[in-house]
Amino acid sequence: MAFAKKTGNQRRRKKIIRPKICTFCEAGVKYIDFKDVEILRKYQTEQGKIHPRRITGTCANHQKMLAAAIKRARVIALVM
Amino acid sequence: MKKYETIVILDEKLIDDDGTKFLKELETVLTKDLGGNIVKSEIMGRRQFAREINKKKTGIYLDITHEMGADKVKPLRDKYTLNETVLRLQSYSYDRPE
Repeated sequence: MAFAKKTGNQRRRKKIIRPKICTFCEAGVKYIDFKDVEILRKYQTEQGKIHPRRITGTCANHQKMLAAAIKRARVIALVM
Repeated sequence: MKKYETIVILDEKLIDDDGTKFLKELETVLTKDLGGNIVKSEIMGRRQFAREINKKKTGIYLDITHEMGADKVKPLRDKYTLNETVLRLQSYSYDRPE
């Protein structure tokens, strides 16, 4: 049985894997403020869950700071 | 003495001004009753809540940075738990780098 030849559109495109860089490290952030709502909301889903590091590319140190800031902001109803 | 940052959320329907009167009262409590000293205090203003607090959707936020003994945090919380104008009073240790 012969296989049908795939056309250009049917062929799988190779994913271009770019290395994720921590945006906080790039900006040289030393502390993430829990009152800075605009930044915190960027790292949350619509339901208010914290985006994982594998999606955002945040480094472990800044992810820890970010999670702590979001949890503080949740208590005072600044973020979901 | 340890440095703290306290956030207070007030019910806007139960106060007549923008929170200045309450802020002054809180500052005197912190300095005279609890023996601390104020580093910085500001009124963050009226904000909409991301989620409801006691079925209310908006409130007035106050932010006070102060120094206080670690044993005085609980008395401060206890003082305002039964106060109806205060929706939240949360003290965090001031851990940001200078």
